[in-house]
This record gives sequence, structure tokens and C-alpha cells, in this order.
Amino acid sequence: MNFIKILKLDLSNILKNPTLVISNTIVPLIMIMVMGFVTKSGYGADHISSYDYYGVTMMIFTALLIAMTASNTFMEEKVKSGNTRIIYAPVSKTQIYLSKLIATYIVGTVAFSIILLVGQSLFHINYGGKNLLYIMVLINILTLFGCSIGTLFCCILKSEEGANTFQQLVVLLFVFFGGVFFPVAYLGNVVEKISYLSPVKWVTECAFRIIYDHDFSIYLPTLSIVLIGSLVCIIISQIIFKPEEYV
Amino acid sequence: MNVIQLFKNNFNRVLSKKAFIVIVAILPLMIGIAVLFSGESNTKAHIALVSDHAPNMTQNDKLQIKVMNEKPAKSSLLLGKYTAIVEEKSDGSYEITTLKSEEEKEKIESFFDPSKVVESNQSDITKRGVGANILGFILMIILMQGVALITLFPEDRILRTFRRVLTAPVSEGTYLFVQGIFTFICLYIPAYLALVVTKGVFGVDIGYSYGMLAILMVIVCALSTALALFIASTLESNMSLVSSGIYIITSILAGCFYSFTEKNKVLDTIFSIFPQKEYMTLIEGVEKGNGIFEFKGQLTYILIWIVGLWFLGSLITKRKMKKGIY
Repeated sequence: MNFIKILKLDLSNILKNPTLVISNTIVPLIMIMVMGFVTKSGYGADHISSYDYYGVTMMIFTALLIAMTASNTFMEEKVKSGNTRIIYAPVSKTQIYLSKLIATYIVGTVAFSIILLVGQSLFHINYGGKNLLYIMVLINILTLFGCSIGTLFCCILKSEEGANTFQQLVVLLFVFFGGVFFPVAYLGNVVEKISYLSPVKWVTECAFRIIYDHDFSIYLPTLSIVLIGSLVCIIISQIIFKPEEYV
Repeated sequence: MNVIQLFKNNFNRVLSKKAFIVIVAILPLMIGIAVLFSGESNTKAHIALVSDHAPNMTQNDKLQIKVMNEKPAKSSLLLGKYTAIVEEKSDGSYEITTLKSEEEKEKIESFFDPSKVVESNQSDITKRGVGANILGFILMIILMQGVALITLFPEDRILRTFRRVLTAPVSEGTYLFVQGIFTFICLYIPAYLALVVTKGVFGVDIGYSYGMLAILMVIVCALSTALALFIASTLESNMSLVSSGIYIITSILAGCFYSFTEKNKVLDTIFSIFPQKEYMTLIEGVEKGNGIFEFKGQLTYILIWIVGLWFLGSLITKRKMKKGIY
């Protein structure tokens, strides 16, 4: 019961923070429009527009960037003092960080699913038509991974700003190798081989295969990889998170 | 004297911060990666030719043709594995599938079917060099890093050290000056070293001389520091979230990643407000061989941004001090 209470409080904390709400709802849409607009002239011969490409990749980017929302929910100064009290309450340490992780995950999943739905129906971005649900699940799992990374970096660096900066760069690296800003194969064989280490690359490839080829062959493996990655982050967080250092 | 004291204090505090050291160390790493990749990027168009027999196609420096029996998946176009898929029909004609623009498609068409001659309005002339591409990417990273490295300032406020420092004979002007210089040095040294190492040791042709790189990096780091000071004094929380959002979007629109020309006057004017845009114009020009002082307009504009932001930052801090917020 305690856990539900903490979770509810964390959820309302996120929803009361305009920066977090805006960065997970309007900003992804702006990113899609900006990237689509800038690269517009390079696409279009085969009914696939720049918006179709960046609609998918920017959502993947956003799903990972939720790590910053997670670290904010976890370590923001205002939240910290409240959490200090929870630490002294008879509540296990797992509940403290897990509630933040889950609260962020819920907000992200709801927000991103709505964006995908709106993107496809209103802005006519190709998110797979009838296969939209599969793309939603894919983004959903990646969101969980993003939240887990955010929590993990908070546990390692013990400060919100530190975690944000560091994970921002990690996310940029993942995203760079994942072909989010431009197809990674343009950069030659070596880079393409390195890119196989980035989970983002698998998610991107999987999404495009489903949308344009109705090919589900790497769907389950991709979901499993990302899910295992999230679990590993959570397990490490459990090991290194020490509430007494958090204060 | 106060300046040196404050500086020393900052330096000692930073040494005990693991996160800070990691951030400083990561910057050159990112720059190195960016530079190495930009050097690797090949501009060749990879074409998948679906054909039962292997026709004797001449490969040139712009096209690389791979002949195959089965049509590759459409997603391989989106993933950038192929620029175009060309299917040879039984009657000898070709069907081309590509993500690129109509113009690109026609160019490829004309290669396979020389009877169709396209008048290409050469866009290659406006293409920018490798150096400008690299510095464009680095510009965004350094802007983000600026906000990360100014962390001592918000920390001082949270821990209320700021108030105590100012009861000593130190004005907030001096305090901010030291924070600014400190951030600038933490940005500049690793960034410049990374460029020198990738250019000197790995032999990547960045397109600028060491001296020019030094000057160009001073401009970037000063801009980043001024922006960081401004953001740190304006925002109480969510600094990195807000700033990275703003930086990513404005950098893309200013053409740091992609060089795009917008024929729309209104949009063009809006985009040129961003200091990044002027910086890109400057470095593109310099890479083409012009002297840096041929861009007095751009230099002045960026300088106004730097001084203006610095001034605004200290003004806001002063006002907040007077109101007793800190």
C-alpha cells in the first residue's frame, strides 16, 4: 500500500512540473517538425517524406531522453527532502527509486502513445498504419529502458545535474550510432559494425522493417534485448543505491 | 586577489567531484568521435541493381553498384544501406525506388538510361566542407557542456554558500566573472586539445589551421559560457533539460547538422537570429579560404550575444540578490 501512495505522489509531482510535461508532449512534436522541415528537400521521390523518417527516429530519441525526466523525478531538490523522510520510514530502499522509475514510465508511455496516435491520424506520419500497436509497444519498452538509464545514472552520480549531463552524452552517443539523425550506413562499414552495439540501432531497424516491409523477424529479439538492458540497469541500481548517501 | 582566491576555491572543489571530472573528460571523447566519423563519411551513392544477368556497369566515384537477384527490403533504404533500388525490367527499362528527392531520382535514372538527360542545377557548389560539418556538431556539444560545467554556481545557491561569499569583500560581478572564466577554461582546454590531437595524431583533415581552430574555439566556448551564465541565473531548476531542448532545436534550425537553404524570407530571418547560424556562416566562409576579418558582421553579432548574455545574467543575479531570493 505504501508503494502505491509513494507512486501516486511521484506521478503528481511530474504532472505538476510544467518543464517535464512540456518536454514529453510538445517537444517531441516540435523535434519531428524541425527535423522534417530541415531535411525536406532531400526526400520525397517514393512517397516517403522526411517527416516519415524523423517521425520514427525522433520518437525513439524522445523515448531515450526520458532518462532526464527520470533523473529529475528522482533527484530534484524539492523531491529530495520529501524522500529523505521516506528513507527513515519503514519502507525498503527498492520502493524509493522504483516508484520514481515507474511513475516516469507511466507518464512517458501514455504521452508517447498519444503522440504516435496523433502523429499518424492527424499529421499522417507513417507509423505502420494497422501495425501502429506494435510500434507503440516498441517505443514503450524503449521508454522503460530510458527510465532505467536515468535511475541508474542517478544512483551512480548521486546528483541530478551530474546524471543529466552524463546521460545526455550517453544518449547522444546511442542515438548517433542508432542512425537517428541520419542513416548510419552512410558513415562506412566500421561505424555500421559499431552501431550494432547500440540498442537504438536495433529499435530503429525493427521499426522501419515493421512499417515498410511488414517484417517482424527481429521484433521479439529487439524487445528482449531492450527489456534485458532495462532489467540490468535496475539490478545495478538496486545494488549501488544507498539511501544514506542520497541524503 | 579575490579573483585568484575564488578561482582556487573552485578548482579545489571541482577536484573532489567525480561527475565533473567525468564530464570534462567526456567532451574531448565526443569531439574525437565526431571528427573521426566526419572524416569517414562517404558520399558515394550505393545502388542495389536487381537483375538476372550482371550488366557491365561502369562504377564511378559517385555511384557504387551492387548487382543482386532479389530485391532488398524497402527498410534498407530508410536505414541508409542503399540510396536507391533499381530493378531491371524484361524490356530493358529500369524502375527506380528511392527515398531521395525527385531530382536525385532523375540523376540516377539518367545514369542507367543515358537517353534521359537531366539538367541538374548543380547544388554541389553550395555544399559545405568537412571542417564546417565537424565544428557544427561540436558547437552543439559545447553549448550543452557549458550548462553542465557551470554547476558550481547553482550549487552555491542551493547550499547558500553564495550568500556567504558575497558577505566577504566580493561583488557578484567578480563572483560571476570567476565562474565564467572557470567554465570557459574547462570547456576550452579539453575541446581544443581534442581537435589538435585528432588533427595531429590521427591525421584527420579538419580543414582549418591550428591557429584558426584556436580562434574559432574561443568564440564557441565564450558563447557557451555566456549562455550558461544566463541560463543558470534565470532558471532555478531543470537547467539541463530546458537548455538541451533549446540547444538541440536551435542548432538544427541554424544548420549546424544539415546545411539547408530555405527560400522563405521570413523563416530565413527568424533562423538568422540564432547566433549559431552566424557562426556557421563564419566558419563556412573561413574554410573556403576567406580571412576571418571578412566576416566582421558575424563576429560583431556573436560578440553582442556574448556580452549581452553576460550582462543580462549578472543583472538578473543582482536583482535576485536584492530581492533576497538567494
